[in-house]
Amino acid sequence: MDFTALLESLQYSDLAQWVNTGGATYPVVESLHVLAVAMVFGTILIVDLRLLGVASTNRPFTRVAHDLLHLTWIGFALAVTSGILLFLPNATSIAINVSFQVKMALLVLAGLNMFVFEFVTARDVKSWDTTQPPPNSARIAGLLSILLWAAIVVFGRMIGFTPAAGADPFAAL
Amino acid sequence: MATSPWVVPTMQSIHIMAIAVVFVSVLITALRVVGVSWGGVSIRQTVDRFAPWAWTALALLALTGVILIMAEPIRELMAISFWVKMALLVALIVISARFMRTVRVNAGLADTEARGTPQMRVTAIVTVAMVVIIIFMGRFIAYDPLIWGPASPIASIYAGS
Repeated sequence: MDFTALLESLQYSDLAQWVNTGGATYPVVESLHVLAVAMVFGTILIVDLRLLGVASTNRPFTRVAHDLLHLTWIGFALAVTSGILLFLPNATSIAINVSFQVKMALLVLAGLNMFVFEFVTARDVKSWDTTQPPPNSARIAGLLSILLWAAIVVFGRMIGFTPAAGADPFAAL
Repeated sequence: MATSPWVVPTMQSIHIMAIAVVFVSVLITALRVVGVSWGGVSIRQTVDRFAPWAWTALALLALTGVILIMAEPIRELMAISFWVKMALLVALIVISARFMRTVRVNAGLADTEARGTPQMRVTAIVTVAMVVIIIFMGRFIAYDPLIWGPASPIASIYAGS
């Protein structure tokens, strides 16, 4: 089965039809997606601001991260689930939507940034857990994370405003 | 303004990021009041940490919200979801202001081990639920006739066109 056929089979699946009933299902799923994205963006922002040494500086970094990252993962799981449900009814057009593709690429970059932070920068977290300001590598990871997640929100919203398949979302600039 | 393809999605994106800040500020404060998260600092310190960010984000919500109304006035002002959202937002602001005043005058809430009173815990849970409903209503504006059926004034506009 080629990729286009796969997308078409997803688009006409029972699950896609259920989401796209024309009733309140689609708006409810979309609202859940916004709620989930708000939870992911908001909790990551608090951790990133701590990494930058801007806020929550009266608490160790590890404690801030411990308190928030399970909420981030709950939000992320909800965002992925609701995102897949939103993708299904329009799978063939969304898959070639430039804003969607940029959003997915940014998600990969945000994941890479988190991976590098977790396995490189945070390895010696005990040495800077309570110190101010945090080391430059931590601050760079925090700043990159804020920029990437803000861009993910922007391109997520742009998906619905990129009218034709393959249209350039930057054309208006 | 509505003719620029970047205005509405950019303002909506900033709007979403601002409500994310309000949502997690209310959520973390509520979790601290209930006593399940953000331990080691007092409720008063927690409020001092999150309230300025939440109020700033609310101001940003108002600014971007006004721009979105100017860009698409009928879609916004004729939607039942918009007015439900506004009513909840006003109620949220009043409840939050009263909550903050309670935190200021109650010396016990400066204790790092203190949890909120039963009434404060109920208020905390209610405010989180209110923000969740506000987020839903914000998205429902785009689907007002689907959500409210013929009761939505927008439904009759479409029917008349």
